[in-house]
Amino acid sequence: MGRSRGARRFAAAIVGAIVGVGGTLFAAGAVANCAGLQGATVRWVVPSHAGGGYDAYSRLLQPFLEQRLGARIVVENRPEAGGIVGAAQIRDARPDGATLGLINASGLLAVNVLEESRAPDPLTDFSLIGRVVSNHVVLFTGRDSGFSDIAALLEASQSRPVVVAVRDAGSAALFAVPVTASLLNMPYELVGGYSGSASRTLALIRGDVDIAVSHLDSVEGQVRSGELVPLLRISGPATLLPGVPGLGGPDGLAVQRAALARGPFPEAMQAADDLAELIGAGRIVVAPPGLPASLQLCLEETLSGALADPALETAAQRAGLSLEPAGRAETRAGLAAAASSADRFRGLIRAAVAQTRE
Amino acid sequence: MDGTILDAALQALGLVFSWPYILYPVAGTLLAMLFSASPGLNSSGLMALAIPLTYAWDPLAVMLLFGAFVGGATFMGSVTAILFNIPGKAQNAVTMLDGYPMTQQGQARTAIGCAAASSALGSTFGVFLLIALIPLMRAAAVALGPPEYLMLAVWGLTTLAALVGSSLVKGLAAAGLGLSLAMIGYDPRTAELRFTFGLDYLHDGLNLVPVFLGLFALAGVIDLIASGRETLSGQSRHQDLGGSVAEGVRSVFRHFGLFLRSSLIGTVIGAIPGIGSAVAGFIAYGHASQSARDRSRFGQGDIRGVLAPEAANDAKDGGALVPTLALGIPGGTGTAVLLGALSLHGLTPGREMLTGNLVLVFVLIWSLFLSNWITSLLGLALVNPMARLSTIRTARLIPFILALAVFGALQYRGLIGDAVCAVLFGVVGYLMKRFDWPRVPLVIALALAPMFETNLHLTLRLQELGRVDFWSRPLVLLLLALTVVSLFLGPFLGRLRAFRAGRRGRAGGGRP
Repeated sequence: MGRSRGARRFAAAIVGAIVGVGGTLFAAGAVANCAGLQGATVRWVVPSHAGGGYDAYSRLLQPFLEQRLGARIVVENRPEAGGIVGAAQIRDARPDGATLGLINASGLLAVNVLEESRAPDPLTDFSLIGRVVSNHVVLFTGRDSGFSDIAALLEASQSRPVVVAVRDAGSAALFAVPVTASLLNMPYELVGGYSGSASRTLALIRGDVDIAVSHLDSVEGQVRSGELVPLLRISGPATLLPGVPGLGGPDGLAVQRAALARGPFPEAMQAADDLAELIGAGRIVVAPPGLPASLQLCLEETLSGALADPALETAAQRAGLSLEPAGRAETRAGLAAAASSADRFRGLIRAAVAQTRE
Repeated sequence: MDGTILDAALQALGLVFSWPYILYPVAGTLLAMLFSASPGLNSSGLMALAIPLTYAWDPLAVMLLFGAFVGGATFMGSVTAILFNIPGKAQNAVTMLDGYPMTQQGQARTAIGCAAASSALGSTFGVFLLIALIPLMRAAAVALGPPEYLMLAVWGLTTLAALVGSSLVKGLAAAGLGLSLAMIGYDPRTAELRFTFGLDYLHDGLNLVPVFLGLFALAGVIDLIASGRETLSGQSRHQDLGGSVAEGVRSVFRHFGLFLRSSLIGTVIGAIPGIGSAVAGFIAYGHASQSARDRSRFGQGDIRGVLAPEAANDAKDGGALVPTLALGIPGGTGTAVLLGALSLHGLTPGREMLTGNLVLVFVLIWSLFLSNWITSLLGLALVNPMARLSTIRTARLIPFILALAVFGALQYRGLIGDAVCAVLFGVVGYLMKRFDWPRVPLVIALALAPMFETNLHLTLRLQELGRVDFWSRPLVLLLLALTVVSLFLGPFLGRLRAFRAGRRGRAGGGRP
């Protein structure tokens, strides 16, 4: 008797559990259109560590997008493998607006020139929502490195290779460093596996490496506090860092070094411009491919509306984050131009990736 | 500590406890507790929400509020870990290894009392170490590099030797399984896929939260059903619950050496950027079991298994502020959002802030300190009503626990695959428990493997390029010595004790 009552009780427990779990699964079902995002949870994938530039931009956008969508946005950092893991997660998610993210378009374009690449292609593997900002990349050293300027670094590189901290396949450094080094005739060794700007910055401060390449907004605090010293603007306008030499342009370091080596000026200048084009592909908000047209339009409008919000502009200014928004068409055009630039650097990128995998 | 630092510390303390500023840390703590107790929410999300709301505030109020957000979130997740085998966050997972067995033995109040006391005191340790380090903060932030991180991971992994349970072979096999499972997904260095068997879900590797929920919470539910127990604690009335809060609090002082060592482990791990929040608790737990004379109760409801991870988890917050304040480099997600808030108010962490804005730095530290204490004291006040839950009839509790576990797995990243993963590991966990295979070595190996792998690659490369000398770094050598001692001295002493006991036994047996 007692046994059968116990059995009934456990049967009831199992039924209750199935109802509970079933209810939970049902409640977690994804929404299918933009209006349906009201009250939903949107997963916002950041393919880098917390604390870096991509994270800062995502958290800057988060409340403004939440307000406009009426959804809760959960920022998720997926830094593995140079952000390829995070980008692949966006690509592989359902195109229902419940997964969005901010990708490093130039890093992905660069790694895609490798035949064996499995990384998502920003041009074909996502629904483009819009660009938040073009990237500007700077070459830094640590305060105690002994390199007061780029000339000192280049001089030292003639007696031993410069040691560079890089992330891994998928990061801007993997093409920015070899291209810059080839234009400056600077021998280098890459140390891959520093998975975010925080770990690269610490590596520079500790003196594990000589230099690293970062987006300026990722390390602005350390530059202001004097822990990091900017040596060279690989891309970006002179106003970005007054007094710091630039790589490109008619009076840039690439042309000066080419002159010194009696090399072809125009080619060096073109290579530096192509590099800036590739880097400038920027930080782009994407969704999984195959987004329904109404949802695509709504998300584009939501993003552009948020980026034009004066409150967001003020917040970005206070946080030292610049904004260069662009709609889908302009973003796509920029990506196409950057992709052809990436193709030009195929050999250098392949050699750099091979070095990090040694 | 020089006079300037002491003056700033006292001035900040006065500010924190002055009216109306005291309201900010109190409100911040309550909000952080509320968020951390809700599945799928966390204090980083709360901070992100608060950033735009605090644009117009003065920096002092912002420091008070955000300090409380950083500190107020850890403890509440331990309560569900202890009572229901469901960790609120990944970092609370390790507490359930011994906390939940204590609940099953009717010791829920003791476990929660111990968790609350070790959390509060652990955070105090972390905060005071942080204050002591202020003059040396930059040096402390850069003292550890890839070789030290590597050796910390190696030391953590060697603690597995103490947790293998009754069979060394089974324990090592479980640890090997954990290391193998950690290899699934993209190689963190080369971005090549490993062991994904064509499944997209596995590209990302196995996430700790669904694995923990499955191996412990769901396996525990299956075991509960199979055991036919009427309530979690085996008791039917609240007054039947054994243990007491006071006993839990006293246990921290009874094992004060372990508390200090665990807090130190937590502070050091907290200062390493990018290391998952679960790592500190696991290394402290491994150390507790390894350094114990009698390890037989670990995993069965040993209070030291609650004390060590709880102290480490809360001491970690103080450690995480070292690179944040010294260099503007966040130790984790919470401090990353904190940095965002500081930059919005024109505050740049680093030397400038540590000299020009030292009072504000102390306001942040004291707010963190206060919020950790408020959380623990409130947690203690809630012990009795929460402990009653363990006397609810199993038949009513099982659907609740199951739904909470699956919801927790789903809510974490919104992936159905996580719920499936939790269920699969639920079955694996139950079978491991049933056939006496230890689960703890598996989860520790899974948690520590990424730290080990990344830093092994970095150390080898930097050594090859002559940028580090592994064998000339004092901290590496210290950790190496600790590892060797852990591996060989423990078993040697055990054998020596057994030999002596055997000799005494033989001598005793010889007497008429």
